[in-house]
Parts: sequence; structure tokens; C-alpha cells
Amino acid sequence: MTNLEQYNRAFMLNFRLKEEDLPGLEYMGIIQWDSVGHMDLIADIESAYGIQMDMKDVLDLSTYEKGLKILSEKYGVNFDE
Amino acid sequence: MYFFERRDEYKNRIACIDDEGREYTYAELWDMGDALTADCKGVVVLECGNDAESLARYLALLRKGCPVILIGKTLEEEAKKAFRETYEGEYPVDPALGLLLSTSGSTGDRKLVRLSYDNIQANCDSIVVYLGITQDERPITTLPMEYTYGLSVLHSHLEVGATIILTNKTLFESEFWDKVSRYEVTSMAGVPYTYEMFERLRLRSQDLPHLKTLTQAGGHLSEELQKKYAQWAAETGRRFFVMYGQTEATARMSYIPPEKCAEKIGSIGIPIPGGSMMIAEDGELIYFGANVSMGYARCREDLALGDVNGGCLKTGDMARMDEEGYFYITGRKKRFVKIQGRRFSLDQVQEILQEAFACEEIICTGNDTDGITVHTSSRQVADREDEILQLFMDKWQVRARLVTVRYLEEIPRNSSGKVLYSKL
Repeated sequence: MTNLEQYNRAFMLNFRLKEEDLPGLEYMGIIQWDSVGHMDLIADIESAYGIQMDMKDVLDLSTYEKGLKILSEKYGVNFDE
Repeated sequence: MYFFERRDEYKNRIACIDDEGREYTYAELWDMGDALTADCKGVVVLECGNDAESLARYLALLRKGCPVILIGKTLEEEAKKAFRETYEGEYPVDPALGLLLSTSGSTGDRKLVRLSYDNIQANCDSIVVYLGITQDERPITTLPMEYTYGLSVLHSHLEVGATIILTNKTLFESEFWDKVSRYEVTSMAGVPYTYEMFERLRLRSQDLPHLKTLTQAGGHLSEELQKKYAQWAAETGRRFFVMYGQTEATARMSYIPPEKCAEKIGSIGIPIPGGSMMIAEDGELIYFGANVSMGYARCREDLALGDVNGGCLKTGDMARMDEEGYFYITGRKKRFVKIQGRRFSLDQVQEILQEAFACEEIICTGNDTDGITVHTSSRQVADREDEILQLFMDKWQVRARLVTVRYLEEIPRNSSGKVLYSKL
């Protein structure tokens, strides 16, 4: 699975969504992505890439797009492969 | 005097600060509430959030003698409507009745716990004493107002004239932590999953010099987390309270004094001041105290009923007591699980699923750690796992990882057709 597929999978499994629902998705924007959902999402992202995110980044990952940016810029996750 | 009558005593003190940073003195909060509820009569369903207007309305309704039913803003529209249609309006109610809360808020039934003004005040008084709450406290809201534990934080701090930081921000928003620092927040309350979030945010290594007290209730905290927080509190001069309660007892029934926390891992502690507990012959934990509710309501006629409990609550939990008088929960008498800080009746969940999938062969079991397992002997239902998970999410906001769907050849039953849950 590519890094992007893993990233998408974390959202799709936790929030019961389809891939086309992901762009534009925001924290607290849908009922599933609440604080409990966020905790699960972060846990899955961390284990997918074998990373530990800083508190600041856990808080900043508040949209689908921001997550891509944070992970590629700060944690060296390559989404272009 | 009740806590909601202390306007003049604390009038110039700050009662709360809302999400916009507006400060409200006790006098302002009280007066705003009077203005907002001037036209209210009879039983009122109040949709609340952690904001000054909700708090002002709530306190004013208590003062006016209008029984209040608190419901959350995130409740399904259909359920909100049902509450209003069932209960709102002017009709005969018991004069002692002040507040009605949903026990689960989860499976969507209309059952409410009937609480008297004296129930609320009695529990509030006990909590102020054992937590040692003073005017200098500045708690921040971490739980919904309609949830008994969240509400008890408001009551007990208004009783002493403290300042509450009201916020609808979640732990995963930086604004929440900005507030914790800016307002020098002194205490936070959490259910078990709040503590999972604290861990994720590495709360124990954050620099929060003013944060002196953490409390925990709303289900069993893992022994690992209880140990970690007890140790952290002891090492950093903080207090960590593990507590036990139910809506049926207004909020709180027992607590572990913080100095005993590391020693009594897994315990629910000792009875709160003014309460007592015993274990019945069959092992059920029984609580006695002035905070035991008047009973349940299932329809509006029930609001005219008096106190049917007489200060005695059968908790439905099985327990044991150690030689120092500390209680430990060993199991449940009834079939329910407490997940995400809320109570779910397995029978009710099961019934809803049976109806939704038009299939009798669906049985739910579960525990507080792993969540709910849906057993079915229907291939068709098992193949619709996605829809089952979706239903849990849409209806009750239960996270996917707390639901497991399991196919089995046959649901185990005894000769008279009763499900053998122990065999599942």
C-alpha cells in the first residue's frame, strides 16, 4: 500500500467514509471526526508510518489536507511515490 | 440555601468566562437567566452547551421551580423532538422535582432520572467537602453540561463562588490549551477516554503549573492509567481523584482519597461524606444517601410521582469490600456496558439492531474495554458489517473499533429458548 493509501485508509476506516468524501474534511465538521475519532485517527496514522507526533501537530492536524502537509513536511512521509 | 440562590453572596465575583472571553459575575449570570426565562412555565426541555446562556437559563429555571430536562445539542433531531413532545408543558408535577437527566443518552429511550432540588444540593455539598473546593478554583469544562458528571462540576463550583471556564472546545483544539494557560485553570474532570486523550497529548509532561487537581469518573479507568496518574500526582504535588457514581445518585457515590490512590488501584474508594454503602447478600452494591434520586420517569404522568427510592439505590454493580472499607466492582448484575463515558443497555442495542436488520438472530455482548460484539447466525446480516458499524456511528457515535461483528452457526440457547450469554 502506498503512503497515501495508508493515510486515506485511516480516515475511511475510522470515520466510515469513501475515498471521494475525504478532500476538505475537517475536525468536528462531521459527527464521526470528534475528539474520540481524532484520537483513533492519530493512533492509526502513527502506527502506519511508525512515528510519534508532537502535541502541536496532533492539534494542527485539523483537516484532511493539513494532515498531508504536516506528515510530509515534518515527518518525511512521501506521498508522491 | 441552594447553590442556585447564591447571587447576592457572590454577586461581584466572576461566575464564568465563556468561549468569547466574556466574563460574567454571579449577579450578571443570574440576571441574564431571569431575563431569558421570563416566559417559561412548567416543564422545560433545555438544549445546552458549555456557554453562559445555557448555564444562566438552567440556574434560573431551578430558581423558578420549573423542572428542567437537559439534553445535548448533538442529540439526534428526532430524539430532541421526542423529548419535547413527551415532557414539555404545564401539567401536575411533584413540587420536589427539579431536574431530569437521561441515564444513557445513548440508546435513545425516553427514560429519565427524576432528581429533587435536595438531591442536587446534597450531592453538591458532599462533593465540595471531599474535593476541598474553594473560591480560588478555576475548572475548565471538559464534559457536556447535560452529562451528570459535567453538571456536578458546575454545581459544586457555583456553590463556593468559584470561576468556571466554559468552553465547547475539545481537547484536540489548541484554543482549549490556550485557555488552560491564560486562565490558569486549576482542575479538569475526565472519563476514561479523556485520560486516553491526556496521554496522547502527553499531559503529564506539559508545563501546567496551575493545574492542581484531576478527577476521574464515568467508568473504570485502566489500572495502568490509574497508576500513572496517581504516581504523577504524588510526585508533582497534585491531587488525583478516582470516583464512582451514577445519574441515579445525582452524580457521585464514592471516591478514593488522593493519598490512597496509588495503594488502592482498581478500587472505587469509600462512600462520599453523607453517604454509605453495603453489599447485599447476592453481592450487589447498595448505596444510601440524600443524593439518591426520586426514581425514573418514562412518561409525563411519572413527573407527578413522589420519591420511590427512599434514599436507597441498588446500583446494579456487583462489589466486594476490603478490610479497610474500600469497595471494588467485580461485575454487573444487568447487561450493559459503559463505553465512551456512556451507558449502553445491551438488550436495547440488540433490539434496535434486530429491528433495523429485520432479523431475530442478532445478540449483543460486550465489556467496557473492548466494546460491543454483535453476534449473528445470519450470513446476510454478518455480510452487512459495514452497515452495522455505520448504524453504531450514526445513531450513537460509537467508534468503529469498539464494535465487532461475529458470525456463528447458531446462537446458543437453553431448552426454553433463552439465550445463553455466557456461551457467547
